Amino acid sequence: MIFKMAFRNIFRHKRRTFLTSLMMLGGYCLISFSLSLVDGSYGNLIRFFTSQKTGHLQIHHKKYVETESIHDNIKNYKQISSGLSKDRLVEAFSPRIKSGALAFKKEKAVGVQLIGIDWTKEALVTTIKKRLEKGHWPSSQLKNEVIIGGKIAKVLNLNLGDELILISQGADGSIANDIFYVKAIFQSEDQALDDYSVYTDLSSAQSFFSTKAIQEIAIKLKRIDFASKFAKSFNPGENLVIRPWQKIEEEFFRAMEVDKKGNTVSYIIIMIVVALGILNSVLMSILERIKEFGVLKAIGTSPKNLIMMIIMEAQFIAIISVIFGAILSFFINLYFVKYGISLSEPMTYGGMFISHIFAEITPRCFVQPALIVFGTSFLVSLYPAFKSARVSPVEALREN
Amino acid sequence: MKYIAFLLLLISSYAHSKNVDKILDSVDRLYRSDTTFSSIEMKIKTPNWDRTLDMDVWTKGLLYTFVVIKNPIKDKGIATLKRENNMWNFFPKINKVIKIPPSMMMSSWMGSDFTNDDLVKENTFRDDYKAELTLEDKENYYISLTPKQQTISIWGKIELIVHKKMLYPIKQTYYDENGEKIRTMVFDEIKKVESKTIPMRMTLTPHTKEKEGHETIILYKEIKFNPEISDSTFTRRNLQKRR
Repeated sequence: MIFKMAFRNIFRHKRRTFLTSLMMLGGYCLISFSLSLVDGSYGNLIRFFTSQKTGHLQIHHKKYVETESIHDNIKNYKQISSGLSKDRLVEAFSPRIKSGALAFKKEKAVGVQLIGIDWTKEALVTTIKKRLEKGHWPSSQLKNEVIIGGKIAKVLNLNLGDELILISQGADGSIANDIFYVKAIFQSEDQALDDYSVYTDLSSAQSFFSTKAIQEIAIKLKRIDFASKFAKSFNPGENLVIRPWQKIEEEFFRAMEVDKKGNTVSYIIIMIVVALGILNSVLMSILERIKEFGVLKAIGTSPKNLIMMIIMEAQFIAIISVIFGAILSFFINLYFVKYGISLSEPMTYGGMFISHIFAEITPRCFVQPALIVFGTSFLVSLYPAFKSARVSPVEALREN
Repeated sequence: MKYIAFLLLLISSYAHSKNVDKILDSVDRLYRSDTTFSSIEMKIKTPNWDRTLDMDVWTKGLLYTFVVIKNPIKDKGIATLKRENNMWNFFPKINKVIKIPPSMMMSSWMGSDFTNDDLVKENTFRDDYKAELTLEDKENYYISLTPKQQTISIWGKIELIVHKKMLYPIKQTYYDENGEKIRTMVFDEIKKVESKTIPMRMTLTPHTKEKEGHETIILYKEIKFNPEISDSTFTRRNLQKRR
């Protein structure tokens, strides 16, 4: 009975209902969009980081994290690799060896990081293969082929096919020295990380550094969200550690968390504005019906039922607004997922170059604003509900 | 009376210092005649790796040294030339000569515990250090050396034990300016070569924390004093020759 009345009340005053729900709908879309933008910008940053270099997880010798020494390496790669290939969460993984070296061309020299990779496996974990500007991704047959970052090419004036001399310290104390050939040049988007990287194949790097071990295994999971969980469940073996990207790029992750907290403040302000708007329209729609409630009470409706009815009305409108809001904000967000917001001045964040902020559609973009709309419209309808429940029929009817 | 006593003291101390000079000179010149040629095996031990290098060494006076690595195959032909104050390494694989900058003088030579400076240095115990004979027993002299004011040295003090009769070193201990023990060098396997009696093995043990477990052993397999060595041996051109 109450339910029916509440339902009918909504359609009785179509314009009033429409205005209230428009308010809710607007609030819903605003929150949904801002959430989607926040998730999108961080999601993209994380994807940048993990897809360019780190992967979702990395395995190291536990001392390597601090020492970055060539002696703190992974010796049981075969065992780990068979474990990883069996795991259903793992999409791909790539063994690496890396150490500093001095790169020469004629009399010019520059400090670089030489990274030995498996050409096939690395391309499945990071985006480096897609970032080639010039040249071709090497095949694994030829030794001592390198791909270099655009910056090194510029500094040393290197072109495809040129010789690049590398000198470093070998793992056996010898002076590592050899000639490498530039096979491709890749564009470095992430300036801090990529500028001075030189990639070669694993076995060339191993013979250059006089070692048989590897130092790092980068892992890409089917979904990045599993990273922390996977790090806890996978046991790489004695003296080795597996770390998710949150730990590998701890500095970046922390900065992001702080930034997110700052965003919560502006997010709460949006929520308050939306709540006030809803309060306003719900309050108005009820207060102008005081006479009506007086009649209801006069014919014997209990205050409890009256309260129920008013709250239900508000919730009905909220449900309608949420449904339409979800549909509408899906399309709004979709637009920004595709086109993004271009920044008038590109900024750098954690060593990365950002020119566009893209939105991202995540479940919480729809769930959170819905909860907020339901919650505020409930809280907001409490006051007028109680107020009208307490009204005496005589006074209410006397008005006008 | 006083004067005579003073004079006597002066004479005795002069005689004494002359004696120490003689000992130091002998140690300084032990492996270094006008020219020498030697064949050396260098064993480097560290917690992470062991390595043995075979090399040939030519020297002329204190100013010229030329070293070529013979073994292992991977490093064959790598050469070091020291000419007066300059030092170069040559890497045949990349056909490149690299001059060792002054900032690299304290870095390891070919991964050993010897520094580039050890090869370059022209300091002699006799001329560049103040010596004090601290103890003398039946077999050995114990000498303490501190660098003279104008001497550029990284050592604050060097303690030397020298065999009394044959005047070859038995042990050298190096301290830094804070009196911390940095490394010791022990000499043994004494052999008579031509007219000299010399230790054929030197064991260098660093004591610093970052070099824990390190050790470099130099073994003279062959040493010739005063062979004929042409001056062209100690040139950049010779350094870059492929061997």
